[in-house]
Amino acid sequence: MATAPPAVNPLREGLRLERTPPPCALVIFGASGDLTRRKLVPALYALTAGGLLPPGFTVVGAARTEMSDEQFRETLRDSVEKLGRVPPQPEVWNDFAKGLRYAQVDFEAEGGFDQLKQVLAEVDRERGTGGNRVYYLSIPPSGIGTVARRLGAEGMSAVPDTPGGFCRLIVEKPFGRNLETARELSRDLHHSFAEEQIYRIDHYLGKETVQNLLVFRFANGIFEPLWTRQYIDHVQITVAESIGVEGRGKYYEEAGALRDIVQNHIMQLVALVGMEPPADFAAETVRDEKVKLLRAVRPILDDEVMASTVRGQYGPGWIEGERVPGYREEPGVPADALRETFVAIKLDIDNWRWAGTPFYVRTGKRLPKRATEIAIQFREVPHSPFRGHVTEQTRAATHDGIAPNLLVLRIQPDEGITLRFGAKVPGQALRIRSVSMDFLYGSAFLTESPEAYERLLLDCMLGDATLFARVDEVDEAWRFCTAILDGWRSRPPDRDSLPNYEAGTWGPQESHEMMARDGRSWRRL
Amino acid sequence: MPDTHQATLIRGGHVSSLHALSAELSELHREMLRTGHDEVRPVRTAVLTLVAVCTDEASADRAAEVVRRLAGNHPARAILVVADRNATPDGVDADLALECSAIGGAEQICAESVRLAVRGQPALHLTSLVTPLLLPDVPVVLWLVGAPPLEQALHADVLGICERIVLDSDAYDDPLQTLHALASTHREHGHLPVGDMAWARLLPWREVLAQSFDGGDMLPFLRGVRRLDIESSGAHPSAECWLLAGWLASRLRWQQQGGPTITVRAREAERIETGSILGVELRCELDGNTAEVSVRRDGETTVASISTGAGLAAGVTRAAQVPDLHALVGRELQESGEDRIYSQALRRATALAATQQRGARR
Repeated sequence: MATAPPAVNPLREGLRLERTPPPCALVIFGASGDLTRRKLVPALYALTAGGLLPPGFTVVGAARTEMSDEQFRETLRDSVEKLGRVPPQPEVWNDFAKGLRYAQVDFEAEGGFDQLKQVLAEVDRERGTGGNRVYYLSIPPSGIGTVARRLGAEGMSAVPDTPGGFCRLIVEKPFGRNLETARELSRDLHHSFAEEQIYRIDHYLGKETVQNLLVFRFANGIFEPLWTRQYIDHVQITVAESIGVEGRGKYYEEAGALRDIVQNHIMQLVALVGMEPPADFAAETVRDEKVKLLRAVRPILDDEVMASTVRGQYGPGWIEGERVPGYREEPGVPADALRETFVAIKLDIDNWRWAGTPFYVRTGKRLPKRATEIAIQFREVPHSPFRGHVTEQTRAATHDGIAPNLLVLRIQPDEGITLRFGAKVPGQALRIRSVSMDFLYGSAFLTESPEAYERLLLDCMLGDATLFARVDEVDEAWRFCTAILDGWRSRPPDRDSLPNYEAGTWGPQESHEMMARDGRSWRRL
Repeated sequence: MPDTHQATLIRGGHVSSLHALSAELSELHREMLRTGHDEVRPVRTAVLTLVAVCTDEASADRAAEVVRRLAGNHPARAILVVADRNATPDGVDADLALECSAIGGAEQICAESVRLAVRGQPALHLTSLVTPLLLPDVPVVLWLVGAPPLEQALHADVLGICERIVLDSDAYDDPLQTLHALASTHREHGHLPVGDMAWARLLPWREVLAQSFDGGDMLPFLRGVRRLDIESSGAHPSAECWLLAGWLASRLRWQQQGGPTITVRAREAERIETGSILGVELRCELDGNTAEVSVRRDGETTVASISTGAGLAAGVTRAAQVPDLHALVGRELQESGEDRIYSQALRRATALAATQQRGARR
C-alpha cells in the first residue's frame, strides 16, 4: 500500500493494553515437555482469551517426538482445561487452536530443522506472521547452546527486514553452573543472537508482587528516605519451600539450592530491594541500576565462607502432618549425597546506602511452609522513654523491650505488605505492644492477577526486556555465587554430618547460630 | 454466644436522628470486638465512601447486595439513600449494619452500611444529609442505582465532593436525553467524573474493534472508514450505540462534514442481558483498496470477521464477557476522576445524534 500506516492504533487509547505485539510465530523447543503443558500454553491461551495477542499469532511446537498438529492440539487442550487460569471456551479455543502447529526436529542431524522451517514458511504465508519469531528454549541446559548455534547456522536468527520486525530468543535458568560456564553459554548465544535479542526468563520477576516492590519503593515518598543504612538494621530474604525435590533428584544433585534459587531468584530480589532509584522505567535504565547493586555485593572470600554461609541437607521428618523422606532417600539421589538443599548467607553490600547493613538470605527445601518474604528490620529507637512499660508478650519477643519497626513484603503466598509498630495498650497504665498493619494484595484489587508467564511472554513479544535478566546481571550474580561454590569445594561437608536438619524445621542449627553471632535472629514465619 | 467461625458476622442498629448515627456505629464496632472469638481479629477498614442513591426499597435491596459482595475487595462505608420527596411527614430514619467477612486466617474485614429513608423536604437536600457521614480522606463515589433524577446528582455541590459518579445511561427511559444532560454538565464544568455502565459494557466491543485493526495490513484502513453501521436491540438506539459511534468518531477524528456515513438503528430483538448492541460494521476504502470489519455477538462470544479486497480473511473470536451489576460497579470503584476517552466519545455521540435527528426531520 502506498500510504504509510499510522504508527499506533488510535482505537487502543484508553484500553487495557495500548499496544499489542505484531503477529508472530512463537516456536517452543521442547514442546512435548512439562513446562509447555503446565505454564506456557495455558498462559498463551489466557492472553488470547483476553484479546492481548494479535490475529495470526501462532505457536509452533518443536521437539524430537513425532506428533501431528491435531495430536499437539489435543494434548494442549487437555492441559489448558486442567491447569489453565482461564478455562477453554469452545469457540475461542477453536480460534486459538488454528494457530497451533507442530514440527518434529532433530537438534543434531543434518536437515533436522527442515520440517520446522517448512512449517514456519507456511505460517508466514497463511497467517501473516511476517517472519517475526520468538524462540522459547524449554530444553535441558546442555542443549541450549547447541540449539542457539543451530538456529544461527540455519539462518533462522536474523531479524526480518520489515518495520518493527523481530526475532527473539527466550532462555530459561539455569544460565550455566558457575561464572565460567555462564560465560560459555553467553558466547554460544551471542554467536547467533545479539544481546538485545536474548530474553533470560526468571519467572519470579513476572510476579505482580515482585513488580510491586519497585512501585512500593519508588512511587511512595515516605519509605525511600528511610531505605538506608541509617534507619535499616538489616534485611532478611527468605525463599522457603515445603516440597522436596519432587522426582527431580538427578537434576538437584547437579544444581543444589545455591544454583537453583540463590543465583537467580534471590539475587534478583536483593537487587530490587537494594538498587538506587532508576531515572525511568526503561529496560536498560532499570537493569543498569540492578547491575550496579550486584557489583557492589562483596564477594565472600575463601576464608570467610564458613562464617558467612551455611549449607544444609534435609533428613526425614514431618510436614503438615505427613511423614516425608530425607533427601538421600529421594529417587535419583545417592545415599551418600552431599548436595545442599538449604543455604543461608550473610551478604554485605559495599556502597553508601548499605555499608554496615547486612542482607541475610536463606532458602531451602522441606522447610515448614512455603513462603517468600522480604523483611526490612529498622533500627531500634535511639533512646526509649518507655522502658518498663512493655507487655510481657513483646518483651519476650525482643531483647530490650520495644520491638523495632518491621516492614514485611510478602511475595507469596498471601501477597501483601505488613508494617509492625508499637502502640499503647488501652487502659490506665502506659503499656506498649507491637501491632501489625496489613495490606493484603488480593483483597485490595478486584482484578485477578495474571500468571507470571503471561506477563513475561507478552513483554517479550512487545520487546520490553525490563523483567528479563541481562547478561551482566547473570555474570554478577554468578561472580558472587561462584566464590561461595569455590570456598565450599575446598571444604566439603563430612559425609556423616548430613543430613543436618529435619524436614519440617527451619534449617540447620548453624543458620540460627550465624544470626546469633551478629546479635540477630531469623524471623518466625 | 455467637458462632465466630462463621464467614460473616452482622450487627445492626436503628436510629431516628443522624446525630446518634456516628456513636451507634462505634458501638457496633465495640460490640463486634467484645463478642468476637479471641482468634478472630475484626479489622475496621474503608477505602472509600460509597453513596448509593436508590429510587425505591427494591433498588436499595439490590444495591445492598452489591455492596455486600464488594466488601471483601472494596471495604467501604456504604450509605444507601432512598428518598421520597412526596412522603410525609418530613424526616429521616437510619438503619445501620456492620458486616464482617473472613478474608483468610484470623482476619475479618468489617464494612459499615447506613440505610437512610428520607421523606419530604429533606429529600431535596441530600447533600446536607450525606456530607456529615462521609469518611475523611478517602474517595467518595456516588452511585445512582436504577434511574434516580439526574439534576441533583449533577449539581455543582455534588460534583465538588464526589470523586466519581457511577450511573447507567441506558437505565433511563430516554438514554439520549441522559447523554445530552451529561454532555451539557461537561460543557458547563469542563470536567465530568462519570463512570457510565453503558460505556463499561462497550469494553469488549471496543477491544475487538481495536484488535481487528492491529495488524499491519489493517491499520492503514482506519484512515479510510467510509461507512459505519451499528445496530442495537430495543425500540430506540441505546446509549451504548451512540457512545460506540461517538468513540469511533472521536478516536478517528472524523469531521462533522464529509466524514463517514453513520447509521445507528434499533431492532426489536431478543433481549440481551449484558448489553444492547447486536452488531457493528465498518467499511473502509483507501488508495483503491477496500476492507470490511464486521463484529457480531454470537452466543457467548463476540466474533469479528475481517476481510480486504486484497484477499486477507481473518477473524477474532473473544469470549463475550458477561459483567453483572456487581462486576460493573466493582470495576468503576477502581477508577477515579474523569475518563477522558469517555468524555470525548460522549461529546461526539451527542453531536452525531443531533445531526442524525436533524436529518430525519428534514
